[in-house]
Formats: sequence, structure tokens, C-alpha cells
Amino acid sequence: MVCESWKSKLDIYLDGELGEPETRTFDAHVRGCPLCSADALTRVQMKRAIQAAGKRFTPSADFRRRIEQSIAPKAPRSFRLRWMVLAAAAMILVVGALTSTYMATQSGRDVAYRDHIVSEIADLHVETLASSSPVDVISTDRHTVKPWFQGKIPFAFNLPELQNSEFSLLGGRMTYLDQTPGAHLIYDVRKHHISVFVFQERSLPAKLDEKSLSPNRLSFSMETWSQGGLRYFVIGDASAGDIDRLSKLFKAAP
Amino acid sequence: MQFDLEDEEEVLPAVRDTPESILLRHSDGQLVQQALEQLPVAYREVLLLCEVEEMSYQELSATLAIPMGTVMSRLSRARKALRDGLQIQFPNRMNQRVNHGL
Repeated sequence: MVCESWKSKLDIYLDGELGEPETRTFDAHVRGCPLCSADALTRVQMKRAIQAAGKRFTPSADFRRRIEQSIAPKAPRSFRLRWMVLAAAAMILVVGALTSTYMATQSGRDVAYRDHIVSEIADLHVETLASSSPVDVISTDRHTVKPWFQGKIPFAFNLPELQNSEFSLLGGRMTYLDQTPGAHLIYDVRKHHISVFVFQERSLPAKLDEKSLSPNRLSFSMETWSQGGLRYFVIGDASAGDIDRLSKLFKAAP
Repeated sequence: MQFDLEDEEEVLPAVRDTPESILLRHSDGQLVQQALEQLPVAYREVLLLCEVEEMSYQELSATLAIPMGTVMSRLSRARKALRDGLQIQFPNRMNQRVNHGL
């Protein structure tokens, strides 16, 4: 399959405008093609960036008038980020992205912020799975990984001892959540990958009510808590039990 | 994650960190917003109506009074123009990050 011919229709596919039979063919191709799924990932990031920037943008009066004169009502959009369900082909992970329809049906800045954060964390996790070099420091030894972060992030945190557990540390990297620097650790449990993110609680712009997070809306499991001034996120396509056990190990780390 | 021979049958997305993807991952929305503002109004318009107002191609065609083919080509050119605009800003931005010790 020559990817050039797919590439020309990629934008139309991602806009949800390809039409049913062709969309399915496209889904199947993206599922099996690393170049196209990588390309699609970048384009979706661009679309989301435009959407976020656009929401802050003040349109000119002329632009406003044109919109007001446009045909109404709008037909409901098909799930636009559906390709992400397929992109992580080799990875068993299926990402249920939070769509803007969710924001339309619920109100409150707290809800929007919470969803934004969960969405960002999910993206960081998926991008890592899709990357050919997911970690910057490769080590199963927490005594190597922990000091690596010194000087790179403005805080220190403890990693649990995993000697007798089912989890193994693959390594770590620096990451950003809304410009806030933090640590990203990747663990393996029975061929599933779990990401653990650590940030300074005070660097995050708003409070997160972890009880209101509903993991069953997503296709992966996530846990988050605050401890010692740090905010932790544990996310992966492993079972909720695995996520929970790893979280407990982190909470107990000295 | 090593790419072992056993993994041959698995297909991994070949994510090479392009300046664009690094930028989009780490940028504040301001960069994209600036790049949007620098676009010709016809490009900015079609991008915002598509991504923010979530208009279908049909609606875009009717709203902007242009044929469907033009909707698609204009979107394609607008996206390319935005990408180009971001890549011009990107080298400057990278230097700022380095200078601030990030």
C-alpha cells in the first residue's frame, strides 16, 4: 500500500468526512501502518491545538456575522478522534478520548479542567507507547532512575521497592503537563505498560477532585492522589487491580 | 522498549519527534494562537469553523458559499500554512526554553 494515496485523504478521514465504507478501509489501514498512524497522531494534535487556541480567539465582527447567517441546526459530529482507537496497533491499548460533546453537555470549569487534565495525561501515556524511544533513562533500578531526575525537575519523589512484586520499572523521562515540569515513569506488568506521572501539586492551576474521576468512561484505568505536596497519576491499560496495587506501592514508598 | 525480532509482527507507529510534534506536545496555546492570527483571514476562518464550530464540509460550503472541492483544498492549504507558520516560530521558542534552563 503506497502511503502517499492515503496521505491525501488523511485530513478528510480525521474530519470524519470520508463516508462509511471508505472510513472503515481507512481504519484498517491506519491500524496496520506505523507511518500513517504517526502522521494521524500529529494531525490530531494540531486539530486539538487549533480548537484550544480558537476557543480563546476573538473573532472579527464580519466573521461573527457570517457564522450567524450560516445554516442551522448543526448535525451531530461523528466521533472525531476515533482513529486513536486504532493507532496504537501493536499496543493493546484503546484510548477513549474525551470529546467536545462531553463539554457541551456538562458545565463548570472544574469539570472542564478535570477532563482536560485526564485527557492530557492519557495523551502523554499513549504518545509514550507509540514512541520508539519512550524513556530517556533506561533502568530497572530505582536508585539509578531517581537521581537522574535531580536538576531536571524542581522536586524529589520516592520510587517504591518492587523486588517481590509483579511490576518492573522500565525507565523514566521528563514530561510537561500544561507547562508544569514533572516526572514520567514507565512500568511493566505482564506485558502491559503503566505510566506514573508526578507533578508538584501547587504548580497545577486548579484543584483536582479525584473522587469525581470516573475511570469507566475511559478504556484504560487511572488513579490519582496527592501526597507530600505532589500530585500522582497512574494510568495504563492494565487491570484496575494492577493500577491499584502499583498505586498502593507508591503511596507506601518512604 | 527494545524492538526484538519476536516483535516483528507488531506494528508500532513510527513516531519520529518532528519539531512540529514536540512543539504541539509542549507548547502553550499562545504559539498556536499567534500562528493562527498571522494566517490570511480566509484560512483562519475555515480552520476555526471546522475545528471550533465543528462544521461539516457541507456546512462550510454553504456558510462560505464555496463548492465542496474548495472547502477541502482550502482546509488543506490552511493547515499547511499553519504548520509552516509554527515551524518558523519554533526555532526561536526552542532557544527561549534553553535560556530559561528548561
